[in-house]
Amino acid sequence: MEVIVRVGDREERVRIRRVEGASPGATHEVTVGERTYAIDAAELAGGGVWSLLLAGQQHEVAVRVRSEGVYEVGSLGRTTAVEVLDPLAYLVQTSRAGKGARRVERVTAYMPGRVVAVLAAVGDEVAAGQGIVVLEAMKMQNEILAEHAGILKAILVQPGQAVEGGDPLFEME
Amino acid sequence: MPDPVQRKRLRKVLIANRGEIAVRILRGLHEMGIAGVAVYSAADRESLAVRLADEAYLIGPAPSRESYLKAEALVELAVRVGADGIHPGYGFLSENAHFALLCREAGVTFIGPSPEAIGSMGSKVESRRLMMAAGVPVVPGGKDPLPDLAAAAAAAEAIGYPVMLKAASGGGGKGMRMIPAAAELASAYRSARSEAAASFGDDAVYMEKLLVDPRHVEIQILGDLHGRVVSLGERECSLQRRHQKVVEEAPSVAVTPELRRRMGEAAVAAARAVGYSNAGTVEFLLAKDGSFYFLEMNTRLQVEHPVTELVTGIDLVRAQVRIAEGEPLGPEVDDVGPRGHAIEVRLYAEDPFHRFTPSPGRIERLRLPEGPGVRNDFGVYEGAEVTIHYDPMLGKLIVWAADREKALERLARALSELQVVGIKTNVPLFEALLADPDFRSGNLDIGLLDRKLAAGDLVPPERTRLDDLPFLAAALAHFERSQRTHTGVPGTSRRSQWGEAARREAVSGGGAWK
Repeated sequence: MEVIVRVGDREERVRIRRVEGASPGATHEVTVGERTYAIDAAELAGGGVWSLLLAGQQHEVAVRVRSEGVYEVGSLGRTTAVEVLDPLAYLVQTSRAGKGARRVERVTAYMPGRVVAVLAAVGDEVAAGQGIVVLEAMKMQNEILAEHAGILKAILVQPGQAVEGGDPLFEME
Repeated sequence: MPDPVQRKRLRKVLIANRGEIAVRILRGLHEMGIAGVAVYSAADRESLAVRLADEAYLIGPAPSRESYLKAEALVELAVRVGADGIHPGYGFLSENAHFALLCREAGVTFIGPSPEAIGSMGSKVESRRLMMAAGVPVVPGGKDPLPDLAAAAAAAEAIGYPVMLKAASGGGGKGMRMIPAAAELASAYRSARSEAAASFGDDAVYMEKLLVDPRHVEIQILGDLHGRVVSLGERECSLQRRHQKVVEEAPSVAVTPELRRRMGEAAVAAARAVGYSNAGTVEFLLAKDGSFYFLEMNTRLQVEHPVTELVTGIDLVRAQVRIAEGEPLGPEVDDVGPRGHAIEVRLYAEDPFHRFTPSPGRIERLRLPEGPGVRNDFGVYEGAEVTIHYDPMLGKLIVWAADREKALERLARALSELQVVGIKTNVPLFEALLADPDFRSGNLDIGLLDRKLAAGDLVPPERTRLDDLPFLAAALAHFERSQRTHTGVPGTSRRSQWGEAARREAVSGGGAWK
């Protein structure tokens, strides 16, 4: 299988196949860019947690599916969002958005609450970590932040509006 | 002379709380052969406390004010199910004198101090007055407005520089001035009053001693119903984020045996001044020069009680129950140490990289650290849902070791074993602290954590061993998912190779099991 894997701003072409007896214990061969790894991969604990042996080095990772092709990889207490695209889907995405492979990200409310303020306007260029909407719940106010830098494409709520968990708040490009 | 205190063994105790402390109390009750009754809101039906309880009853919908805070309903329930005691835990109704009174009137033993003691310590004005009368040092100063510069000068002389002026009618730093010495008093006094007038319409200001970068050091006390009150030593709780404790330890590196003795005596005097019984904590501010001042008393068991348990060997929940049953404190509380060093970190479902936003959700994987000197006081389990209705504390990780340096090493090891998938946690904050020279040396004060966070000085050490790891892991998971979707069976992984061999064995009838 060949896929494009994206972590933040870094994109790599990744090839992966099962192997048997290629090197002792290896179950898969994975090539990331120019680098090829023989990996002994064991999925543990009913799924979602992997022990990966690479030339004797042991790495434990948790892989969680967020949505189709979007994963959260947890390792040593850190989680990283990773996108996996098949080459055709990747081509479609990059050609549609023009140069720079922009995509629309919809941010939803993580808990029910009330929108108390909108801190930016449609069309604004926002920085990663910038507060976009202020949500109040359980007497606490929390700023909902833009994960990455980009353009604020749409604001889907207004001050005073009550939202449920999962309701869309804004869209970024 | 016969002892007037009745001894009454408790048979069934209702826990008026939830989460990790409800679990803690249940464990204590079960060790004493006492039945534990859990109460749960609609959001807590599947909680660990309910799963471990002997009996459990629904007390209302998720919001606390409709469930865990319903004092009358809780006491009525206790009576109805035959509970002869109620343990209030911490937070919720634990420091509610009215609740303690309802218990008393219903004939249910409240496992804590009397309603009168709760009331006295619940009022800042009242408790300060009682402390001064008892000779317990309090932060010098007073809330009486200073009518003119002469009054201010006299107050400053009495208190001793440095001092602080504060507005009587408001906060937020308005009308507040720090005055290091007499030369600055006049101009500070004038500007403080005019700023207070402009901000609050009232120019009255009062004066307190300014403690520079004090530590928060608290003393655990136990008092029985026979008049005996003892100190079990201190806890260092200076690491706070916006006044919320994040890391606690015992003992404090700043407390010598002599200071421990003096603070212990002050804490006992404070407890006696209000006729205190059961477990309680007297909080002090410890200044750099070794002087200490009463802050407030918490008339309940505290979140951080485990560090005291580990360095003294005293089970505080057990002690609370026995005291409530009328047992006198015994020789086990004499000469309690501290022995070794304990550190506790509070694990929260929040994202430290995004201003500590709460991170509710389902805990898909949970691996808690184990092994020597590791204690986990958690209220959640793998598969549990962390909701937004309550404080997002998952639990506490506590380590004990022979000294502070070893405790820090053990904490680092334990944190590296901890695995939480599905929600974000504040673990990176602790990793950053373990790499911080001030935390490692114990050079703490109550503003330290906020200052370091504001300055961006706390950075978790980079622990990546392999930059390509996220790429490898996601690609593998993606590939295997697609393989299983297509073929419906796991492929040639090692597990299935073993499975293949076993199946062949079974079919052929061979093998060792003849």
